[in-house]
Parts: sequence; C-alpha cells; structure tokens
Amino acid sequence: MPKQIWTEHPVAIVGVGATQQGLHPGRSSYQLGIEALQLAIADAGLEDKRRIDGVLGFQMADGLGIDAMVLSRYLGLNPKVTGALDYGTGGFTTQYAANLIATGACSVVACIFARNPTDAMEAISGEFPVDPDHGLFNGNVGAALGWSRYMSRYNCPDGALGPVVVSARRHAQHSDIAAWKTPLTFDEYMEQPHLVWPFRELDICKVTAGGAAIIMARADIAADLAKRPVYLHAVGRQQAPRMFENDDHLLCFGMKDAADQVFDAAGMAPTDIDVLHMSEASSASVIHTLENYGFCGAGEGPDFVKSGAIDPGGEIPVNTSGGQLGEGYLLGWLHHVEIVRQLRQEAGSRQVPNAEVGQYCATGRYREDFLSSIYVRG
Amino acid sequence: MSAPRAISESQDVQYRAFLANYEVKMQQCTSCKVFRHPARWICPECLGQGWEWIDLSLNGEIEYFVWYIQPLDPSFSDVPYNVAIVRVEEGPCITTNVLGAAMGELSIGQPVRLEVGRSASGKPLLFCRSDVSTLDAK
Repeated sequence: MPKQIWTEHPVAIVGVGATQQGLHPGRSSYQLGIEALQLAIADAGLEDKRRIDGVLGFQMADGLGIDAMVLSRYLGLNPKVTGALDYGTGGFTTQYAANLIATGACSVVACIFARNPTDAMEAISGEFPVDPDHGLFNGNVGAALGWSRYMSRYNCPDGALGPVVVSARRHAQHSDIAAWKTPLTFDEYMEQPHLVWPFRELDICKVTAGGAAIIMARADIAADLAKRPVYLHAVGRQQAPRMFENDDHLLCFGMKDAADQVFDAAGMAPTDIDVLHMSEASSASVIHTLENYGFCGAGEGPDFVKSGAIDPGGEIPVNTSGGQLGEGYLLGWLHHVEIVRQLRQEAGSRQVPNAEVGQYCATGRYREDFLSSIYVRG
Repeated sequence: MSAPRAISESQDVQYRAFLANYEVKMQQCTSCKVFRHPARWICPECLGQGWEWIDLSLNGEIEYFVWYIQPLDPSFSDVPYNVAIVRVEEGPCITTNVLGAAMGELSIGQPVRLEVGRSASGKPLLFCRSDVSTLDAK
C-alpha cells in the first residue's frame, strides 16, 4: 500500500465543539453551527479566528445544508477555500479537510455540520421513498432487508440487535449533550412491536437537532495551540454504486475493503484500537462493522454485543458518547468530537483508560459508501 | 461500428411499456450476453451499447425481505405487507412484493415466480408469487 499523504504531511484535529443535541425550537442550522464552531475555536485556543483559511459546510440530498460562503460571511472570514461536500458526513468532510491541509492548499480548516430538522426527536431517519410503487419507504429499510439475510445465514434470533440499542443508551448516560438519556432495558426493547420486521423502531435512529464543529490544522500549527493534537493516521474508503450487481450488497459488500485499506495504511490491527466509533443509522450496522473490521468473527456479532464487549468498560467500547442511537444523529460528526476527547483523556466518566488510538467507521446511503479513519494522539 | 445514437439515460419507459403489455423482459447485452436491471443504455460489464429485450424465465429466488408491520406512508396503509429483493434466474435483482404469502411464510432462498400485476393506482408492476406450482403468468 502506498503511503498516505498525511504520513509525510501530518494533519491534526486541534479543536472540537458540539451543542446540546435533541431539540432547538426556532434556531437555524447556521446558529447551531456557529455555536459549535465558537466552542471549537475556544477549545483549540485559536485566539485569532482569521487563522482559519478553509471553511467546509455540507449539502444533503434533501436540500438541507450549510453554505460555506454564507457561513464565512457570518463569521467575518475570507477563507482561501470554501466547500460543501454532497452528503457531507463527519468522515467524508474531515478527510477532505485533511487533503486540503496536507496538500498545502490550507493551513487551518473549520468543518461545520448542524441541522434542525422538522420533527426532531420524533421522526425516524432515512425518510425517503426508495421504491414507492412496491411500498419500499425509508432508506434504513435497506438495512432491515440486509438483516433478514443475516438472520437466515447465521440462524440468528429476533432480538439479537437489542443489546446494541441498550448499549447506546448506556453510553449516552455519560454524555453531557445526549438527546436520548432515558435508560432502556433489553426487556423494554423486546416489548416494542416491530416497525418493519426484522426492525423495531428503536433499531433506527431518529433525527435530532444540533451542531458540531471540527478544526483541523497542519502539525506545526497544531503544536502551538492549546490542546494536545489528535493526528489523522490512516483512512480507508470503498464505494459500492453497483449495488445489487455485487453479492451481498445489503450485507455491506465493500465494508471489508475499507477495513483492509485502513488497517494496511495504519500498520495496525483491530487489537490496536482503544476507542471504536461507528455511524449507525440502524443497530444492524454495528454488527456488520464489528464483523467486517475484524473485532469479532463473521456471525459472532450478536454474541459479542450480548457479552457486554461494546458497553462502557467493555472489551472494546463502541460509541462512547452514545452514538446516533443515543447521543444524536449528526451523520458521524459527534463521533469525531468524542474520539478527540477520548484521545486527549478529557472524556470524564466516559473515559477509556489510556486511550491512544481511535477508529471511526461509516456506512452510508443505501449501503453504497464505506469509510474509516484512524486517529492517534500526539 | 454504428454511429452513436441518441439515448435516454434510463430505459425505464421501455421496461414499463413491456410490463403494461404483460411482458416481463430484461435487457441483455448483445456483446457479452450479461443481463442488466434497472434498464440503461450501457452494459456495466463490457460497456457495450447494444441490447436486446429478452423474455425472462420468470424464475427467481428471495435474497432479502421485510414485513412492514406499521405503515410508513399513507399510500401503503394496509399492513402487514412485504417487500422483497428477488434475484431472477438471469442474474439481476428486482424489488418486488411477494403475493399470496402470510407473515412467517417467506424465507431467504425461497423460489418465487414472477408475474405482472397492477399497483393500487393501476400501474402495471412486477410482482412475485411464492406458490411456484401455480403457473398462471399471463
């Protein structure tokens, strides 16, 4: 595997900020984004905001987004580069920011994501018609379709996903900003009727309002700022636009390639990871991620999560601030904020002892996008 | 090589026109003979731009399925109903509903038979039946 550019031109996350997640009646995504960015600027100790020379917003298929030119105007900045990635998840956007810095286009890049969807904390995510003629509504049903095949292949019972949801709520108890802090028992999970068999409503994350900001910088700048830098160490990416022309598309065909890439580039194995984060619009993607990235064997995910391995204090805690099923649904952005806090040993009651290496893994769209980043503390 | 012809990005209109006539056809590449679906103007295997519409065998197998227990859209309020991804014998997958099956009667790998039916709004659509012994395709 050729060296990745940040191996020779290191890029660090130097500041993070996140608002309360859940409900923000009447506040715009720009207000929430700027609140998060001000927290990130203070966190980084970036005394002069004009040192930010790159500003990245995002653009979603539903038209929601943050226009980085408008945002820069609000912020009183004239950046060298502005941009908004289509489907700007936390992983895609931070990798783009790192590219801008490693190639020398920018020195300090602010990445901002915020939204205030209608029906926050009420509506399940993924609400778009995939095939309305046949009644296939909601993108997360792709994950439910995949789970039916998984259950058949591994003779896996109903309820196997319950420990994932319960664990997310356990982690969220320790987050100061989580939307979903009410504890949940496995029995309460099982009592909930199915929504789209084999999923219960609790298996799909709900939309939430909130903002997050991440500031990335070149290593020499990072060294002079307030906090210990957290370096981007390696990335892996694999897309699967051929969809059903691939075998096992809805069992996350492609995720294994992203895993091989990121571990090869990092020179690491799953045993090197201290803190594991994954974007999970549905509980099933946690099982697929654990298996495809090698944290447990194929078909072993349900027993692995049932054992408490991903819980607070477990063998490999997953989504230590609650993730999208517990803290809030910001498309992987809150996971990055939390990885940084863990690697700085700032996570309070959530802290994984001596966490030095953090990994983020993502599944996107209709199981067409896979991405992983590994971060190390400086 | 023939001159490039004007094409539409999707060939869905043609596919649906066959369905409206109770014909279940799929595109087959004239160069490499691979079937493709959804319909399009170029072969994803060999990039050939020629195709023929071939009658399907009507045999398929359930690759994935779900049951909507609670309605997610007012246009499909009659629950429970299933949605399945079926791999047809010729290779590609289709999204469909398996008719005539109650909850608990579907399984992965189950053989199904394709047939043309009509949606609630009267649109001709491709469905499947789990009772493969009933060969009543029009």
